[in-house]
Amino acid sequence: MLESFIPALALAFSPEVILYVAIGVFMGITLGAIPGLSGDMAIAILLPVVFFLEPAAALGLLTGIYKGGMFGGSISAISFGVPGTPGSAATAIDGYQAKLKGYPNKALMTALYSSVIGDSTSDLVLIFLALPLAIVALTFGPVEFFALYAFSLLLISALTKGKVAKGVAMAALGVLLAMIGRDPMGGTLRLTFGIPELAGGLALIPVLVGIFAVSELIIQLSKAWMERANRIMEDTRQKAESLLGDYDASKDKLTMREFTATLKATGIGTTMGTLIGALPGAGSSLAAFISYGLAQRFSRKGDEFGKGSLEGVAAAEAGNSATSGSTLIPLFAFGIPGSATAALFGAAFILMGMTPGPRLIYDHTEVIYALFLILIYANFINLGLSQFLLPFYSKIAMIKSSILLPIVCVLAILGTFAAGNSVIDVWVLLFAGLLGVVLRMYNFPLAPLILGFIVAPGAERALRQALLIGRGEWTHLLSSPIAIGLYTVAAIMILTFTFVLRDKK
Amino acid sequence: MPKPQFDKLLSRQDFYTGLVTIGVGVIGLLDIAYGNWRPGPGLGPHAFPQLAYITLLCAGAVIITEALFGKSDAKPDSLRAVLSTGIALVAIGMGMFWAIGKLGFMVSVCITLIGASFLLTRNPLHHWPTTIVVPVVATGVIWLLFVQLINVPLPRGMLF
Repeated sequence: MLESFIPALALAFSPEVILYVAIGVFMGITLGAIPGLSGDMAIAILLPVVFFLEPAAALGLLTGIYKGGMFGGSISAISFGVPGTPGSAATAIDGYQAKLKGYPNKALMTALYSSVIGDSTSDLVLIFLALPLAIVALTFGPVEFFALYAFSLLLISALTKGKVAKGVAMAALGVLLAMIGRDPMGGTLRLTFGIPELAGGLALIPVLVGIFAVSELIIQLSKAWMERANRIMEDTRQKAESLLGDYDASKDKLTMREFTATLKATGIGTTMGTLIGALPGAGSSLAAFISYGLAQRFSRKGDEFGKGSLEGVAAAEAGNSATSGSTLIPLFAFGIPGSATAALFGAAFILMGMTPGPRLIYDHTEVIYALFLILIYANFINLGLSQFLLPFYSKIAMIKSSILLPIVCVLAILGTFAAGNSVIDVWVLLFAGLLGVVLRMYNFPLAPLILGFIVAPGAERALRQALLIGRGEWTHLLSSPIAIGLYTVAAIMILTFTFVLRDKK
Repeated sequence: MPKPQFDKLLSRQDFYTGLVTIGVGVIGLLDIAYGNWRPGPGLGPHAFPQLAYITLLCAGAVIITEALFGKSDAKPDSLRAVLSTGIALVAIGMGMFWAIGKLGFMVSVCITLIGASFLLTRNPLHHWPTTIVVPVVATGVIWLLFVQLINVPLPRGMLF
């Protein structure tokens, strides 16, 4: 495998790929900084573009957006107290207070450094864990794989929002949506309701973009939330102007002593974020809040948390960003996306003809090694671009989302059409958007639905193969110690996390 | 141990959410049993959907049980407004797509974007740089991206 490293190096550091990574980082930070838009939404909308780019360039673009979006959310969180993404909500607690106390630049730089440290560490964990886990997964048969699919679906259902029953219902709905079309084994038509256009099944892009992006766009368009965010920004601008008389930019620079003082909090955030990120469904928001809470408990200045503490900013931001690499571990090792972002990356792999799973690294060694390298150097591009553009990014965050939302809608529609050249896909996109709106309004988590939709074909294949081997005996599903172990761990984790989240509430 | 609150059950949102979830499961199972599935013996094409419907049924029962013990989400705010926006977006999206085939890409996308900006902005003429100039520039960029760079075979219209 080492012989693939040199070509991967050449691939990752080709000028075209570096350019796409930089464009992605810029787009991610810009969209992440605007409340209501997020890196995930940008990845979803740009998925069709994957068709038209070389795999390394496409993955570079998506990686850049992902990493940029992670940090971008903290810009509006610190500048206006309005988190640009859910993961940056914990950053807003101390970041915005720091801004009101007259040191926004220190808070932003602390967020940037801790984000890059957390993200890089998490990427290294992914790189060093994915291959050994993939080797283990290669020994799995249908029984173990079905257990693994069930494990992921149950865990993501339990951890998302802490609503187990609604999560499980969504996973089942995702499975049913994936069943629409022709049965891959017997060719029987399923759930097509007599509509011949559905015989080919629902395409991945319209379902993903519709459920994720279009539903969010509809809610953003309709809700007065947008107006409220704008009003908060306006108030903040007025407050900032009143503070401007006392504000001395030369004093608002992060010193080495202040930076080293935040390292412990960054370490806590990085560790927690990396661990929590690897769990299917746990998410960056949970990682950020747990990191923040732990850093406060172990800090000598715990009473300063919530009052503009740079340690608070560092812990939350490191926790948020450290999920980025580890959340891809289940995808690379087992082909199971553990989060919404990982699902989007999984979709990108499928669109490029690469099947996520243990064979991914073996079958596409050069591209995956190149992706590993991109994951690392994208952090440095993020660091460089952000340091240079930070003053402008705060202004970008003031752009009213009402200007951008219609443009994003048009991009979603045209992008979906471009991917499949099918008007049916546009219909599916818009109706998936409506379905997503209804589910969001009734507090159903969407991540299990997406995971169910993506893993259903693999899970069905594994189940049918396992039962074929076991001559129709369902007890054959419990014939492997690994499968029993996975079911047991899933049950324990569901119970533990359900109660942890309930207690937290 | 909390006590079941039968008297408040009908006023809880998740009671109805659970009922709908169970309803989907039941209809699906009936469809498999009596519809045009021809399942036959063994693990046919119906088995996995059947498992999903049974899961929906069980999840719905748990949602109702939780509502019975007081755990229920609140009724969604402004559902009608959000759904109206959603339906409007579906209509506008399909309308734009239809118009591309009749009028051409640039004209249709530009009109759609300007129309949307006018709807979303207070005093749109006063903010003409963002309600007129930005949509026109965005149309140009989208045209460059989709028609020139990606070469998407969009339906051709009378204009451009």
